[in-house]
Amino acid sequence: MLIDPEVVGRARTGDSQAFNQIVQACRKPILGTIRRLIGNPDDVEDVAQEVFVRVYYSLDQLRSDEGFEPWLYRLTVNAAYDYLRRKRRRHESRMSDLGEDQVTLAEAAEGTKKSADAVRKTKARELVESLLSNVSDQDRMLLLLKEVEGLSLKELERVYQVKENALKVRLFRARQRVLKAFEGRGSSVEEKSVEKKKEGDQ
Amino acid sequence: MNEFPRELQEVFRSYREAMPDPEPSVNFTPVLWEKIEARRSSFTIMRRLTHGLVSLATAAALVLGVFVIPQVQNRRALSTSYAEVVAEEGNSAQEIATAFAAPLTPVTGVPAQ
Repeated sequence: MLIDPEVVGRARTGDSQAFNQIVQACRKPILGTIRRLIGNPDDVEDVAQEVFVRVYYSLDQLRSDEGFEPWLYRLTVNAAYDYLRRKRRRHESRMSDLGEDQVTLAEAAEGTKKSADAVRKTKARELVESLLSNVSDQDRMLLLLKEVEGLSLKELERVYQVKENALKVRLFRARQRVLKAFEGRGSSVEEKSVEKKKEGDQ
Repeated sequence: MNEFPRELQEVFRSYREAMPDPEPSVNFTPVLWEKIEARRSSFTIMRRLTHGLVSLATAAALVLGVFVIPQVQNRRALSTSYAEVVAEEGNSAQEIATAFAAPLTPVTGVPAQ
């Protein structure tokens, strides 16, 4: 997602064509980021459009044309966070979406339509979603930006506008929680298999 | 902990592969512009409403300043004490003090006929 600062500059002056250029260049990666941040494929386009509406109306607040990408990420994270907050207020838990995934997983496992690779990916998706359910929405987003989107600490610093050390501390804590859940999950699977083995022996 | 153990890194990598960037729908940009226009018209309504409120507040302030406040100030005379009214009419404090402090002399003489 490389945007020419000159295009950003023109968009800032109200050039619709330049704004369209930005949308064309950024919409796909933004859709992907939002999909991973909110975990619900149905509302991805809505949230992405909200991001671009915010971009359109706040371009004049952008300090420099070069800082466009971190700023866009910041708007994306904020829009995704707002969405999750609204969703929580509506008492829609993410579990219902996971349920959908589980159905897909079951279909994939039962039927032979999907390949083993698809099943592995679905499992990875479900596992990450369940691991991330152990951290707050903010930490979930931070971890996803770092571990999945591949943003560096410097880039995250510009997105969140906080000091690198503060980010490190936050990431450390979030990683610890996720790791704990991951290890706990492993032990619970082991316990279950031991129990099953015992039942089988009896 | 600067990064996850290898196993967990692999899980996140698989997650990234499992969640590729989706293709935007054909209507993405047209719907986006519709939303921008809708927001613009709501901004316009809000701006007009704000202008209306500001005008109303200015008019109310003028009415208060020109008509209501002088009336309230005039009405103040009714609520002030006798001494204050006398003082406002130009009598000095000394005169008032004298008037109040003067001993009441009984009328002894018979009025002349």
